[in-house]
Amino acid sequence: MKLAETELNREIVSEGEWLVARNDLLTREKEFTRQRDALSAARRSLPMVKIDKDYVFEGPDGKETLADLFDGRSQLIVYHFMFGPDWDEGCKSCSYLADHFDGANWHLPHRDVTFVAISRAPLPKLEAYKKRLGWRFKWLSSQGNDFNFDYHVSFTKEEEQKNKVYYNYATGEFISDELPGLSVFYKDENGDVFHTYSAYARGLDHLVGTYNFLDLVPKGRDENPDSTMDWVRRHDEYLA
Amino acid sequence: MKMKTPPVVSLQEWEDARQQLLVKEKELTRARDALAAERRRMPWLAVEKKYQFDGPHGKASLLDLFEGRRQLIVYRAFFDPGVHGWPEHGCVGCSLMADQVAHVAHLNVRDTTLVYASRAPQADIERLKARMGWKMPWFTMLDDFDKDFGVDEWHGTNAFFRDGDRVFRTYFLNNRGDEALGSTWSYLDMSALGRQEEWEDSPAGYPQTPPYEWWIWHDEPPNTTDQDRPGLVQLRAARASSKVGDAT
Repeated sequence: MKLAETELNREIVSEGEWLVARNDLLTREKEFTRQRDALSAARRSLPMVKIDKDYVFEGPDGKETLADLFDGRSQLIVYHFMFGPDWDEGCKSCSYLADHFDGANWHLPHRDVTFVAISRAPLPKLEAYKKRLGWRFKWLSSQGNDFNFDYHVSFTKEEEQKNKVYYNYATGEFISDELPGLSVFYKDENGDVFHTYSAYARGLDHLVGTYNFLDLVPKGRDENPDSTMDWVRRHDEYLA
Repeated sequence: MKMKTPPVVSLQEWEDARQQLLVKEKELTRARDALAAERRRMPWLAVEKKYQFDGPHGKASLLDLFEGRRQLIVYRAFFDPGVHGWPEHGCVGCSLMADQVAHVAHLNVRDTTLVYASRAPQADIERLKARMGWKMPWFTMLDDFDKDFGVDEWHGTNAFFRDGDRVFRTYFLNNRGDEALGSTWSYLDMSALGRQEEWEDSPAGYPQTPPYEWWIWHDEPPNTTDQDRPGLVQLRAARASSKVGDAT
């Protein structure tokens, strides 16, 4: 989409005036940073739910339970990657998010966090797609267990027929048999596993570094408000 | 001291607590959208001075850095002679930032070019990029660009807009503002323990260490002792030369 010439008629000012405007915005940006810190503190105070179900996943290291996935650490982040059992490719918007996983994942283990992605597609599909897009993060299949349904990112045929699903902590219309999300788990010294947090929809927005960069430029994200990610492609599918 | 974790509750109670937090999270998302909207209305500053960089294909002007697109973001990374880690590594915090730059195709398709800029010669930059697996364009500053755009002493991000051959500075970000560009912090903010840094308001007994000190180069051996962590070593060096301010 071309930016109309009229929109380019930006006020051009002197350095002194620009700095005044920038500092004015900076005050509000700092307030926002402090609000974000306070919200993160509130997140750490959320209660936890003990997990009694035995989930078994199929991954590159064979069959692993949810407790195994912690890999010796006390915290586990699971990205619920939309890739249904019958799909040929992973969701393109999840792929956009996934382009940001490996960079963060160099550092997360150093803060006691293990990061994995989980999808319902069978493992060979996940591995072929991961190879195609050049990713390193560990990706497991939850095919055959209830994990995706229990964490409200996959939906049954029955829910589709009733056109009623529970997603992002609200009941709404059926959108797709898979939706994006992220869940956090904690393992205590006795080996018990707890669910501490899940986020969905725009709750995942701040994990997309590309969006954070676009929020700094004059045109912004420049998105269609009714279909925000319609410009997104898999990184090997953009026309040069 | 044993870590006092939050209460373990039933699924229904958890959902109630989560719902309440979600309301606050949505408010913050809207507040972020509003800030970004304000940014898009900032006045612009004309860049009249000519700057020169060295790049993988030889000398380049600021205009060349746009690669034909209309928006340019320049992150000033400290990979300079004399900076801790030289010449094997860039500054540990800037390296952490570089690790988190995703495939630039997504920015490019939004008419935006992202580049890194340092004082290191191109040969050193090429070697560092190859070893660390970084793919973004990375230029060598040859003149007062860093001083003129507020990044001669500290990391920072400048945004520019190009209208034909005219270039405008539209935005500048530094200190904790740069955090938003790296999702490592965002992931940790969602984890049960948080960033595990001393300044955080966490339940009593949570593990906490000073900020910056836990930072690493991603290729360092996993058995590095705490005393040798690059983040700590660099911070010590910076404090010794008293260039460090309160970056939080």
